[in-house]
Amino acid sequence: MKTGKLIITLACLVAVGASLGACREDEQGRVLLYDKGVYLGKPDTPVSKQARRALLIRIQRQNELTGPQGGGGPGSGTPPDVRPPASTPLDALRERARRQSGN
Amino acid sequence: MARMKFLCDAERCIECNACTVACKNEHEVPWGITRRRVVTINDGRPGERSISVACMHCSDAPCIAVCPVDCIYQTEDGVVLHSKDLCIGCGYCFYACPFGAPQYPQAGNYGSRGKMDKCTFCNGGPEEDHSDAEFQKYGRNRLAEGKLPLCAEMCSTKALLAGDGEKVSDIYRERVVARGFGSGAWGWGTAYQIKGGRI
Repeated sequence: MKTGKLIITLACLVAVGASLGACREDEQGRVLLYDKGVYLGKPDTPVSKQARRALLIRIQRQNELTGPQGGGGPGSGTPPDVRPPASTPLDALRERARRQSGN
Repeated sequence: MARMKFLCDAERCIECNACTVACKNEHEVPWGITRRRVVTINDGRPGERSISVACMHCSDAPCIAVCPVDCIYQTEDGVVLHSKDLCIGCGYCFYACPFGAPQYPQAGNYGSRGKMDKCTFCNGGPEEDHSDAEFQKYGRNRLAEGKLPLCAEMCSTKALLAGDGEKVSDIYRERVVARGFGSGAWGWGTAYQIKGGRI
């Protein structure tokens, strides 16, 4: 009887030990121990100097008139370019419009 | 560069929602999540004003302070980003945010919220720049390409400004002087006022 209880106790201890031993960060693949107020995730890649220069130009030109590029992109300062109607592929557009109707 | 900030000029916003659509499209934001939305007050009445709202990337971000797993961080440009690998979807950041920026996909079982999603100032996340993992989790990284957030670049009336806080405030100041009035840079004080000695 005593031997049986001892075996059960030992088995329980082994099971608990094995389950707790599996609680390692490298096995879990995630952060388990947190340092209060400290970000422990993957480090961020800073913006490169080249991209930073481009950003500064874009920011300064944000208030200018929109150029042919459209949106808030660096404008040329000239009025928006309007495509002449002759260059519009009207036939292709009509074909697309016809297909759109499903007829 | 000082730090990245958003500014919405309420006198110019025409509630076209192009910023919302641009954001959804650029980052392939899933159904149920809107990182940026347009809020209108006094709709249809005199004094109607609209503003485009998203994460303001606060100087002293309350979301960072309340996150129990510290998954939110600030880049050296002042952009507030988070790691979806660490997020447990507790929702604390949502309650702390004065702008209602954090969103949850509500895809989990038993009412769990899923990983938090919010505006990244088009700066992706902690994954490798321009990687598939970064795009899948956080969307496109335009800042690394030297481009500003698409919502601001798309804005047809240039109501939404983004970029270096000093330059953005210079632009707004010029506008206020030129038109002789201004309704205040909405959210600017809440997001960027001095707290604990930080700007």
